[in-house]
Amino acid sequence: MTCYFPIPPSIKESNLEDKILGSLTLLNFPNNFKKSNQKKIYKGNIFLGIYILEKNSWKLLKVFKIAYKEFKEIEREKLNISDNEMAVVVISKNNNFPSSCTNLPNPSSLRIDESPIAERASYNFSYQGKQTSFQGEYPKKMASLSKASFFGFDTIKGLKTNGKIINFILFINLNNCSERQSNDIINIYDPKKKNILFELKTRENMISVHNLSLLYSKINNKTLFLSSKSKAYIALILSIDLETYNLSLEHTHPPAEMAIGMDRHLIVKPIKNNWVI
Amino acid sequence: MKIFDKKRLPYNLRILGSHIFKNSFNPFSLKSRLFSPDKVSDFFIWSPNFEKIEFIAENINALVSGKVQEVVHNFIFYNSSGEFIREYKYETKEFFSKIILPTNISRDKYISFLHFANSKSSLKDILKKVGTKKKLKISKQSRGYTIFSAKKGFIGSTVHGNLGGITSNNEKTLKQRSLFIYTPAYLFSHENIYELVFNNPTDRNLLIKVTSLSSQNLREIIIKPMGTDFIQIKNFEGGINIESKLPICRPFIFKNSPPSNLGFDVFHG
Repeated sequence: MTCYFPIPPSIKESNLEDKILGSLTLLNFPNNFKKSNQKKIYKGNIFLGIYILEKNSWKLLKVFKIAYKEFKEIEREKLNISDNEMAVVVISKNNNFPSSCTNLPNPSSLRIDESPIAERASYNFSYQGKQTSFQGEYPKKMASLSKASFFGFDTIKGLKTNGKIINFILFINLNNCSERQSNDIINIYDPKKKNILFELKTRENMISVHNLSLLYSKINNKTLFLSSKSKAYIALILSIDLETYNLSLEHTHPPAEMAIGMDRHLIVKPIKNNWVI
Repeated sequence: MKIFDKKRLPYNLRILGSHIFKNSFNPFSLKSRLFSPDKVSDFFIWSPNFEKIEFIAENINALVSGKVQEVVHNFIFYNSSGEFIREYKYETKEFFSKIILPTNISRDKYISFLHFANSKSSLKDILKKVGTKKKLKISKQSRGYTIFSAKKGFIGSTVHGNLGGITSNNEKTLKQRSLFIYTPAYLFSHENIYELVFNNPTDRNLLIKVTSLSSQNLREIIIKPMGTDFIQIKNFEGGINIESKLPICRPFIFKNSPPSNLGFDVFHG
């Protein structure tokens, strides 16, 4: 399974002196392999093509080269693009990226065998020298979906009694076709009453960032559910403590992760039937 | 045109085929794939270094049935040597619960725990009630989140569990295979102090060796079954390799754990 790597956004908020800065760290080395297969490791350079959306096309913004066993940190601020426009990294073993395309090029893979851990990059957010990270990816298969839906929950939001905290929710949607840019709505609702409390605007091929603390000013420690009937998202919750500037970041599990076994997919349908509203 | 579609083969035959051809990559035992246990738990971390540790527990049966259902969230703690310490139970009907875990469980710097959501009905029974007719090969998997707060008033840092595959009867469905290398795409910085926390969800001692990307040996540890240990990394810049016989051997990375005030973070390596 190959992957794309959308570049995390930077976030400007009136309560914060500076921006929360998004960056992505990639490594030219396979994530996971059987030791007996290490002779198969690709030792050449890899190239990171950064594509942004320009009208209805993917436009190549920049190419970085990474040598074997080297890291590259891609900071959004240094790309001279807006804070949350879609910018996506495509890995290739050759520097032959098209300058413009409708479908993102197929990414290369550094995998050398069937070891189970997917190819990942570090997604980082930092504020005044403090940083939070998680290991993530956007599977190519997910970027090729023509029809999908989304169910999530907000229980991982940070809570603080004196309220000096901001929780952001980030919805990442990537489609390899640049023409897919239709708008969408994510419903936020109370699972017991199923009454929709908020509607968040999102779009295909966009990372939308929403300040939950602003939205939830009158809601306390309740878990609310999130759903979309028409698009798939990776949802991240980023919290910042306004006193210590500590940050926290995690993603919500998709329903399929609540089970294992050959029939694990059978859990998804009833959950989505119940909760995608 | 697809001449051979393996999905048309009987399930057990597919499992056996996969066992013969791909077994060395599969983290799960053949037995657990043929006879799915009712539920399995990830393997989570607890530490006395934090003033508050919360756990986000999912009530999967309630989510599948679509209505609130009573559930007893059962936490089972093991010390760093893998010996059972105690249980902690929490009853609720909620779909998701944020549960504050006890603070006085162990003096060991890091220990591990399991979480099971016990209900009157099994997941398989509930799936049958909502219309799934076939004989199911499915296990409910506890994949909750742990939130570590250095001080009670601070926001915590959140991390999900490590693949555990441990059943409520304490059977281990994960197997050690041949040697695997895992390399997180994470650039360690000399400004920070990291503790890479590993636990052993298998039934044999687990040897873990951490080296730098330039093959400099950083440290080796041996963890007993159900045990927990950690490797401290400081004054180090670069990437690391983690070598073990677990196909999936990802540490919890605690960066600048308290009392450090350099900026705490915990994430899954």
